[in-house]
Amino acid sequence: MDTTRESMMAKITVIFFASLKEEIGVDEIQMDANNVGDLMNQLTSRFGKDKTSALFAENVRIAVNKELIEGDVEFSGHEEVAFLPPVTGG
Amino acid sequence: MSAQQVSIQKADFNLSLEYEKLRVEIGSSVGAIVSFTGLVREQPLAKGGDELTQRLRLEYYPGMTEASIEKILVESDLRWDLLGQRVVHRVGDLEPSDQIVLVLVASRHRADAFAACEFIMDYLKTRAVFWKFEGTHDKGEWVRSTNEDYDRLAKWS
Repeated sequence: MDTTRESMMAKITVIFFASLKEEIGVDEIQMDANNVGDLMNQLTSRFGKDKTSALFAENVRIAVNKELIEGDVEFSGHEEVAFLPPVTGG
Repeated sequence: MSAQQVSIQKADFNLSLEYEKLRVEIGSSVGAIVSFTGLVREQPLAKGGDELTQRLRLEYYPGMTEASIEKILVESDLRWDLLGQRVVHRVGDLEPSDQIVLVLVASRHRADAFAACEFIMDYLKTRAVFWKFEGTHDKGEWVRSTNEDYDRLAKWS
């Protein structure tokens, strides 16, 4: 059921850094999502394809609770998901 | 494992104070402390043209940035015989000639401290979680790591 699924969605905090913050136009938002794939879809419908295309770039890394991830990750709730453009070092 | 301390801060740092603190902390088996101070350099903007950098902004990810530097220090600890390592990195708005990074490395023999300090800086320039925005007073852009920075990493592999 869609309604059940909706209520089980995890509340997460999404953070955008550096150039991605400028592309998206916000630095931090709260969202409900089940996993990274779901989150990407929601971000695309919320901000539009043009703005979110930068998030899908090959060199953009995603960190969940400050750990870099590979592939998809399921959320349980209260995760902090960060989109990181390539670092430029110190 | 050597004593390690990483600070990310907006405030400027004082080399003498940091040096003294480390020297006192690590005890009497130390034979060398190497220090490196990085300054914001005035240089042509990455996008080209005649304009020079007038400001630099460093953004970081609290927690993750410290962890990325600590990882570098763990690696240098494995490679050399070190007694202490200290990194202070500034963030926020900086201008040419401002101090931006301090690395102090203490060891029994100087060769270890010299090599480790250079290693830490080469890795800081490419692996540490920072984003640089450079520009003139009215415009600017996000910087990318340079090929030269990556070339320097190759010698440590």
